[in-house]
Amino acid sequence: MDNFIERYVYDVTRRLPEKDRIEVSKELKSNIYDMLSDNAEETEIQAVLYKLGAPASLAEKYRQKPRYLISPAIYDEYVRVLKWLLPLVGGVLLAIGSAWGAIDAIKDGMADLFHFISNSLSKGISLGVSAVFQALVWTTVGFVIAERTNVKADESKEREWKIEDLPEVLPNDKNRIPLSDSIIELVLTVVFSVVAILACNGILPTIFIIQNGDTQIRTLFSTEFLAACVPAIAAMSILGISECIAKIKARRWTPLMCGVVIVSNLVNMGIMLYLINRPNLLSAEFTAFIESVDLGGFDLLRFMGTGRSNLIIIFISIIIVACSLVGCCMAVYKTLKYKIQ
Amino acid sequence: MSVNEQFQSFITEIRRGSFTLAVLGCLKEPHYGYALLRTMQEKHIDIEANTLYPLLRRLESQGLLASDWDTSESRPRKYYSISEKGGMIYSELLVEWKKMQSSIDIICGKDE
Repeated sequence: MDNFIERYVYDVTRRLPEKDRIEVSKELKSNIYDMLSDNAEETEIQAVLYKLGAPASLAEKYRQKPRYLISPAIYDEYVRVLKWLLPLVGGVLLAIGSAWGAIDAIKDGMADLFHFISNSLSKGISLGVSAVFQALVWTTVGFVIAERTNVKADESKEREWKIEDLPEVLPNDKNRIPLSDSIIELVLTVVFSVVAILACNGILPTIFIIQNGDTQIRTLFSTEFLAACVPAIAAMSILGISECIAKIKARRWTPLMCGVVIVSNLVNMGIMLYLINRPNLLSAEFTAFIESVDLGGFDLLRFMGTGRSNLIIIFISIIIVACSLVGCCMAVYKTLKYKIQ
Repeated sequence: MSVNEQFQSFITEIRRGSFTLAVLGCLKEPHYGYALLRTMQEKHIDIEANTLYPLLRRLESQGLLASDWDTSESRPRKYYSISEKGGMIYSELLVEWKKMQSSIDIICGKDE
């Protein structure tokens, strides 16, 4: 008969913080025995335990603060983000995966239609499904961070607060960074970084299709370039993730937030410029292909070949610099806009 | 949510605050958990064991109650009694309670 009591008490206390377990276990057992007659039958024990209720709900009452992974305050936003983010990420990655699968099939010389379709579908579905899981995990991680930050902020607010610390009421709270935006940014950063790293590792080969009577596949970039891309993408994604986490925590455009975005933009710009300006950007097979094609006297290699200074590289570099500067200016503008008003 | 469920949730809200006052009042005399439950139920306070036991522990961790394990009998029992801090809070709560009660009487008295 003790077995039921032991098991019940264990089921309650295992849900409690370590430090409370021994005391609650001892006390609860003593209380249960007090509630029973001296030689209690099994049915009496069961009745008492049922009276005490489900172990999980009793444990909830012993825990002094309700715990949430994602509290009701932000749960609706969580569901709303998942509802459109998962189909979006899943759909886009399904399409990318299918395309890669199709190209692989052509590369392997799978001419028959059935193999072609099955190969592209299976690649598409596997990439789509794993992307959906990635998106689900990272969305949840984002919201959990938001939840924990909020709980901590509330706890410290409970301790002491001053009238002067109250935030200014802004028109429609416009310097707010919407939580869902930051989390979507986080998820997209992670999912597409993973896909990009896979691509660079040759698991999903980077390709170039030339239609010239029949379909040919060429590797566009050199292996040295792809190898250099992996750590660069990893670094950029870590930076991107940190930026998103900072946004989730701050939730508004502050000078510090603005600084974080600017640093992240400039570092990303530096990394991309370094990559694009490396020698041996293109693969030998692609270079050979360009050399073999007659472009009517137009020397394409002079523009995008192996040299350091050429027009296309300079043009791409200018776009990278321009995008980064626009990103920095937007951050400064958003931060200053509501300070001035 | 049915009318009955709504009613139950209002009752729970009203009771939640009064239980603390009732527990502090009873524990001027030391009680162990189950004895306190019986004392309160005898006085027609409709509290369940699964509400009272965690409440005792919470009030103890907040410093309103003191506790002592009595090991002199065959089974050890944890006796609770009101602490000095608990006593102070109890008196203040009681004043508030009476004020609230008289206000409610003034507002709702004519509806009885």
